[in-house]
Amino acid sequence: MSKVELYEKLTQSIVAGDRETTVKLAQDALARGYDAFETLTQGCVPAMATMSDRYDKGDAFVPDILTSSDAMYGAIGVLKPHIKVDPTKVPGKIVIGVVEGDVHDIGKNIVKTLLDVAGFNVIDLGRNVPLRKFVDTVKEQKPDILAMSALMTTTMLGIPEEIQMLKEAGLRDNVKVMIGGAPLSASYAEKVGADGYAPNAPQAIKAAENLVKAHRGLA
Amino acid sequence: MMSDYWWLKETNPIDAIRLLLDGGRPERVPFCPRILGHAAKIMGYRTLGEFYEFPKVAVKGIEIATEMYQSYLPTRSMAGTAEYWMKAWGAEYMLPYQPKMGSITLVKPVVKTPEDMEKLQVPDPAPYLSAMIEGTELLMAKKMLPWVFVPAGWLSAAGYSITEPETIMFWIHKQPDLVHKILDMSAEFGIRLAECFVKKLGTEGWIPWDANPTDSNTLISADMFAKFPMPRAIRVHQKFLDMGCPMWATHWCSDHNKTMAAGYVDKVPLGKPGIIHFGTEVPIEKIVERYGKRHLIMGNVDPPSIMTKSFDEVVELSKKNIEVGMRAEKGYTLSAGCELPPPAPPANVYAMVKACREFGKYS
Repeated sequence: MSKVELYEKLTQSIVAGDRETTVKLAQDALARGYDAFETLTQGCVPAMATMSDRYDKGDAFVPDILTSSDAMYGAIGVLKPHIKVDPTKVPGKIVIGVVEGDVHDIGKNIVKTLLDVAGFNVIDLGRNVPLRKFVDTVKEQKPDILAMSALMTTTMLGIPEEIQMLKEAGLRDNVKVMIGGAPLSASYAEKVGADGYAPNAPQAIKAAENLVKAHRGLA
Repeated sequence: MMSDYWWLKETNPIDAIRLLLDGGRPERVPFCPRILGHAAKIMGYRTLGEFYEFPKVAVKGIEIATEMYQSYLPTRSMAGTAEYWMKAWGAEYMLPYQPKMGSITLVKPVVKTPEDMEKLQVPDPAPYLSAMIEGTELLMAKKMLPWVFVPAGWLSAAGYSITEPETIMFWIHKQPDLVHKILDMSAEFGIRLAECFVKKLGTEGWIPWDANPTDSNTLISADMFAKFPMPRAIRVHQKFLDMGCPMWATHWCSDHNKTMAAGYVDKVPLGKPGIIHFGTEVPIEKIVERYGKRHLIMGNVDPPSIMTKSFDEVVELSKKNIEVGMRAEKGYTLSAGCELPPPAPPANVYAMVKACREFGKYS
């Protein structure tokens, strides 16, 4: 099996959500002396891109994304200890969480997984996150993006409050704010002064990439 | 204050709905908001906790909201829901005593690993129904046609009590036998609920109600729907109907377009007719075309818009929904596409009342 063939099989096994085969193929790649970072970027990452596209088109659903992510994490577990991380190549730093009062985190968790896989440095604050904690974390961690989700009409109102708190803390110009969740929309994002919005997890990754570029003056 | 239902003298809630269900028409399109936490808000409660804990608070709120908005179909008492949805299974939950919480919240499910399944048994719901029965009986005594939540058979029911949504979603591919087992046990619980509710409440004057956001195409495919929750939902629904309940009210929450197109929505019995309520993701035109001859349709104005847009915009959105909904042969009521947002400005809720008055006259 050639290197290209192995990477293709790795991609296929992740798409199929086959963790066992994925781990074996990742181990095989290392045993053959292939570069771990190359194996990750050429064998694994395309699989999640495929899953993102399928989800966008309505051909894949949350159970499919979760099983593919599980296989992907299997590969990452094998490959990561062998990857020399160059901090300058990390595509962005993101603080993410579900806003206060809301514990619906399945969407946030999928976004986090896809951001992880795409190479972002993700700081996950979890669910039911007090608004003050977002502010404090932005101040301490200096992320490119603050990503917040809300699944309820009661909790979505925390988002404009958070943006106001960032302004009052003098932090608003230092971070891009991205939002998502069932009751939210692009028009609501614009209305409350968020910088980005995504209707689903795959599009959140694209939005995050664009916001990081804008934040770093690369757009 | 509540003894004189002056605002209902034209048509009271039961008459309006019965009229619709019998193929007749009230003077105008009824406004039928699913008001829960909003009732607590208009009473001035800082959180929704008391509304979700104490039947008398819930009933008072529903009465006030009904009178204030002149709505035709009252909603249900949520007090006690967590007791039989979550606590009966052994799950831990939190009532919405935080200012931004919109509902009860699962804190700790019963099943997190396959091993946890070995100890799981279907509980007897009876000891956990007292608050729900109290609230329902109070509403029935006032002839407010309450809905009674039946959390059974759906992924949405089992995924927020027996286990968590992420676990059950992951197991759909990895441990499908466990998902089947969980849903079978959840459905069996629903069968026991049917027996308890009918024994306590009879079959008239209340309506069994359920909702299924986690069973929507936002999360699962139509095929997954057919394979996992659908057979259990059919079993639970049929049991209530077989026991003499005339109808179901079901909220097909979020995006069920694919499930609807595949014909699977139609397989879940609602009675003849039942009450069908889709999320905003399913266009009202499509709902009327497909179900207008079979069920009473509840409209589906976008909930966040009711909360964040202007009075005039809400009137306009409601008008559009009404104009299409009125074509439904079995009847139509204006509603939000989900629960009416608790923080919605009362003026925007009134905008929906106004739209019914101005654009919903059947003559």
